[in-house]
Amino acid sequence: MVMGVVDAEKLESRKSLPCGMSDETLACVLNHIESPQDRAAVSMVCQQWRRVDGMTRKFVTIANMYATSPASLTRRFKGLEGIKLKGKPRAAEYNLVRSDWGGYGEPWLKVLGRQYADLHILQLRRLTVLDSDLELIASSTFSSALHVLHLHKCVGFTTKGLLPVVRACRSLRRLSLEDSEVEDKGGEWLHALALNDSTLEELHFGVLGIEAIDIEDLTILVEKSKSLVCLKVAEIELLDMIDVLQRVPSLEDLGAGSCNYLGAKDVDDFVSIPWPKKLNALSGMWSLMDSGLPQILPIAPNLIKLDLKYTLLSCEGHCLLLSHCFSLQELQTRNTLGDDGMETLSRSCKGLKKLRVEDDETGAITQRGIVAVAQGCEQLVQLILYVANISNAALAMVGQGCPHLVDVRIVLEPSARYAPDFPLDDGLKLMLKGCVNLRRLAVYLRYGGLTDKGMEYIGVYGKNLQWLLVGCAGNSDVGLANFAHWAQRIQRLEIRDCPFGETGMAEAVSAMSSLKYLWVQGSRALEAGEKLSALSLPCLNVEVCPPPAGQPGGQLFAYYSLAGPRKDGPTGLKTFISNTVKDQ
Amino acid sequence: MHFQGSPNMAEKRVKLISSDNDEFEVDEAVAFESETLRNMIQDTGTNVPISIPNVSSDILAKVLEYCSYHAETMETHDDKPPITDAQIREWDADFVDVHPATLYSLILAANYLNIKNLLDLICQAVANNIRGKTAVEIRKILHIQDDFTYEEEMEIRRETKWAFD
Repeated sequence: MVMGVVDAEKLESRKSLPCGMSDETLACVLNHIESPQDRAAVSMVCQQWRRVDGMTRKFVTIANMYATSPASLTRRFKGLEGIKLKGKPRAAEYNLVRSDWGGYGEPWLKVLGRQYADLHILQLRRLTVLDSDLELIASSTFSSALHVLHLHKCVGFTTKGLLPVVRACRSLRRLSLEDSEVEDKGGEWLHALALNDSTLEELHFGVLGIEAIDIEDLTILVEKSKSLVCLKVAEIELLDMIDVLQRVPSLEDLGAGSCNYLGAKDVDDFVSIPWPKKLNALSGMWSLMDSGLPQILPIAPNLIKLDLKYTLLSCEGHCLLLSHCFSLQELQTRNTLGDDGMETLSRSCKGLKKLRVEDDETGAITQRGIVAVAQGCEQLVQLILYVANISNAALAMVGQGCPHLVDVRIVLEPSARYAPDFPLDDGLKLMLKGCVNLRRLAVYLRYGGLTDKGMEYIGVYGKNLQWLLVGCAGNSDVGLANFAHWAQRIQRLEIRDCPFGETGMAEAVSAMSSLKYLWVQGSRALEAGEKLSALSLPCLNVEVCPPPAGQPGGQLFAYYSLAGPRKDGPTGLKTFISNTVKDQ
Repeated sequence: MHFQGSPNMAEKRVKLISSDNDEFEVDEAVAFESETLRNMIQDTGTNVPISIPNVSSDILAKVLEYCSYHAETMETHDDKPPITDAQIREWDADFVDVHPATLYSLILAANYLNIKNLLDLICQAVANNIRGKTAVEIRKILHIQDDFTYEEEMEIRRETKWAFD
């Protein structure tokens, strides 16, 4: 907001009555206010409202743990019941940051454990969580109150570390290790969990590597857990789960383990999978082949969510299965799906809301598939595609056919054989004009795919964008500047392999009023080792970090912080703050 | 101004005087909806008018309208079906469908007079009014003075923008 407006408002409000609500009454009002945006507004009204917001706020998300400190959190919020804490930058999900980058849970968990005895929900994302940190959770004041423990994309702990947690946290309703890297040190934790009077509604250990599982423990656990609606495992054969599945009639969401033997002649003649009646979401199914599909087709019409990315289904297999999935709303798979699979989706899955197709070398998706989905799946809100080819017309069709999209990510495979319809500036413009609700956009093409003009279009027509990733985009700092001028809602910007210089990036950061962080990789400025003094802005921590072994170039991570520079970075990390450089 | 309770009971009447010196007379049962008035009446009886120095007559009238209705819903009549919860909810919703400034005055009155159900009802209604508004808009609606210093304001903006969602 402009200074003048603030002052005018202050003058005007001085004429009006002082606030006369007691803290207690105000708390009674604020208890009805839940959304983070409304809470943010409430906390900026006056001193009293800020204080009472701090006393009554139930849930806080910390999108970047280095933007603040545990002490600031506890100073402001007195009785939190839920916390979502995010650590490393998103690039960590693609192995683009060093394993010793940071994102350590310990300093936070120590403080949370002391302060928040009523904490029901603890969600940690992209954090380094050691067994000793899990011990902190187990010995915290909130251990018996904890309902939800979600370790999402975390690294550093073992199954042994889970043991004290399941012993101490007896009220757990959701325990999820979703996409975390977990070292297997025995299955005692599951045994202990099975001994609890189970209140479990979700148990997700569908990650590779957790092999030491006694199926007997799992059977006892599901029999006790009458409210279990979500169970995800990985290293268990689906055929060994038959007893388990017969005991969970309440199950709606299954992460099936391995399907190595599904479809083998001597198996299918004797066994049919006893799918729970309410099942509507299916994932996992490692190594499922086309031959295993007859076991799955009977439940296909009930499925709302389907994740096929770990299966070995062929394009034909995809088509066969998807042609039965009339209720499907969310699909994840690999590009084996192919254009034929995309056409099947367009015909059969009219209610599809989310589509995510990951990279693989077994198939290819081109403009044909994109056009088909854009024409057939009007409800799409999320579209994430690795494509082998793409055209302006296909992008324009997405804008025309899918007006509800909020999240679009398109990556052109580096190995793509085709000569695309470059540049895609105009197609992207038409897509942005059609998808007015777009909040998240990633466009990672090849050089020439998006020119400075295209960058400007993203700013001008992507008015509601909050997150943007561009790869191999733009020609010069002019494109970046023209984008930044318009991009006043962008909070997170990721730039990979773009020809932008130091000055251009610094000017862009200053121009974007909502920016929280900037991630840059493969930049000309970084490779040239230029000084980043132009980026020295108040409260902006600028870090240049060496890449993981075997990867070229440096990485720049610039983020606004009220906690000053961090001290837990890896060796070689350089931090720039207002004309000073600190080496670690 | 007179608020009638049930006509078939020979009720004691209570006199109330608003901040702008208007006199109200209500049945004791109506006044008893307020914990504060109940305590006062129990201390001093119903002979002396009770003055309520910080509630104006238009707001006091609204409060007593609420108290009369809710006192009435507690009574049973042989000739009429009892008032259902749904009817009460509908009446309450109509009652709080007023200008935000009135709501705010009602909060202060309900707080002072200690009428818990009314306070809850209005708090919910005020919350509904606040949702989707900016801090500046909230200050305007509720006539709240911005008492942050410039430095505090900047600090708060930064914290809201970068640290906590």
